[in-house]
Amino acid sequence: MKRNYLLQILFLGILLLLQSCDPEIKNDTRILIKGNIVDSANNPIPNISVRCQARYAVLGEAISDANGQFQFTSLEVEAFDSLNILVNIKPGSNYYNEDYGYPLIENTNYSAKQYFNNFHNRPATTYNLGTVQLNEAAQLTIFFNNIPGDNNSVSYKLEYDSAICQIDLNLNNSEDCNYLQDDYYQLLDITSSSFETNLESQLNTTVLLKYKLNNEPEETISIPLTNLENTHVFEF
Amino acid sequence: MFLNFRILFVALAISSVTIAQEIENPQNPETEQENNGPGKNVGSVVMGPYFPIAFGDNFVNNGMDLSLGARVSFKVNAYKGIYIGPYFSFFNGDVTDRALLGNYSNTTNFVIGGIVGYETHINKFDFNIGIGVGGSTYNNNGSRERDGFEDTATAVWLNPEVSYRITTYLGFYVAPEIRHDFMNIDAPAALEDTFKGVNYLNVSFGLRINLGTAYKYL
Repeated sequence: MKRNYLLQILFLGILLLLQSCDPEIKNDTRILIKGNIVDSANNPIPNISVRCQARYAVLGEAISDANGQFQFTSLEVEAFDSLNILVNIKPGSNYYNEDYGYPLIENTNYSAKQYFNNFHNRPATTYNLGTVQLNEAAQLTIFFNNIPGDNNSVSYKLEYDSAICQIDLNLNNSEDCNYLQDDYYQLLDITSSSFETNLESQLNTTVLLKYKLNNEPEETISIPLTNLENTHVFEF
Repeated sequence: MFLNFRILFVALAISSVTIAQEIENPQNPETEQENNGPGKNVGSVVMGPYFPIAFGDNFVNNGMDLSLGARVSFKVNAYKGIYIGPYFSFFNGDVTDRALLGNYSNTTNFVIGGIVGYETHINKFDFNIGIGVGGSTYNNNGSRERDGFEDTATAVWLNPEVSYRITTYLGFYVAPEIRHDFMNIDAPAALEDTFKGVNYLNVSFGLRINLGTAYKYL
């Protein structure tokens, strides 16, 4: 008898777990999403995907037309899930993991944006995103070269604009593209091998390479991303 | 599809029973009339396929491809040709414009309601006109099983109907139906015209089963 109860509880638990994996779509509700997409020179960008998504569920989607404009109706989810409007991000992407950035971008020539609304009791409304500017994507390769013959140790971290910017729909001017590759310093010493690292950011932005040489005060190297592909050599 | 077959089987079973009853109990109308008067008109049951046709500027007409459904109604003769009764219909639809409707793939619409109307008989023809009101539910489904949600509405309809009796208890009917669904969808002002209501001109035809002995004398 006890075993039966245990099985029933286990079964119910699994059911509840499955239920909690997907957002609950709200009955009798629609929202409207519209805007237009331009590049850094204010030229319209066609064929950019725009999706309204809650967790993995795509609630509505469209692509920008020849004039960069998009408009579509979307479903809504119950308020305990946040609503995300994803511009140029792959469908169903898991944008909560640590790979947040370039691998999630659909058209890799451009940056991407994630608009979100965490408010409860969201009204059935029109989300007019206005002009959505997607900068051209730019890559940076940094070569960390260990120069033999000194005993220096260096710790560093990188700060740059992510290829995906986040915007809170309930705040004005809330666009946040800042991305710390690591929020702590990576230590390099005489035993470290030379290596290279790649990062994806946006054209005409600057990557900050912050480092401390032998635990001295922090210094910063600014690396402007003026080309689609950029390189920088850091010797230690 | 399975539901359509089930309704068809039920219809065939009921019609078989009614025909069998007629064969087993041949009655002389004159004798019957002499002994029991004109008989009792209980009402009728109609059931058949249901062809939904949406029109106007609304989300169903602009963004769905509708397909065959079915309709069943039971009319109880209440007073001198005035009838009342329950009504049920359903149909299916595929979403063809997700940018207009939202990201889901198909819907099944159910209406459960009541009808009231008036019926008259000329020779072997039964003419009636009725109005109905009921709850309309669009059961919407996405690509995944748990993506389901509902849109609801209050449906009202006007329903003229003509039927022809091939036997006392069995006939065929054809019934156009003008229907409006007052949608309960909460949408921003820019979408209100699309989602506030749906117009239909539906057509149904099929089997009519007459209930009561009065049909022998009509």
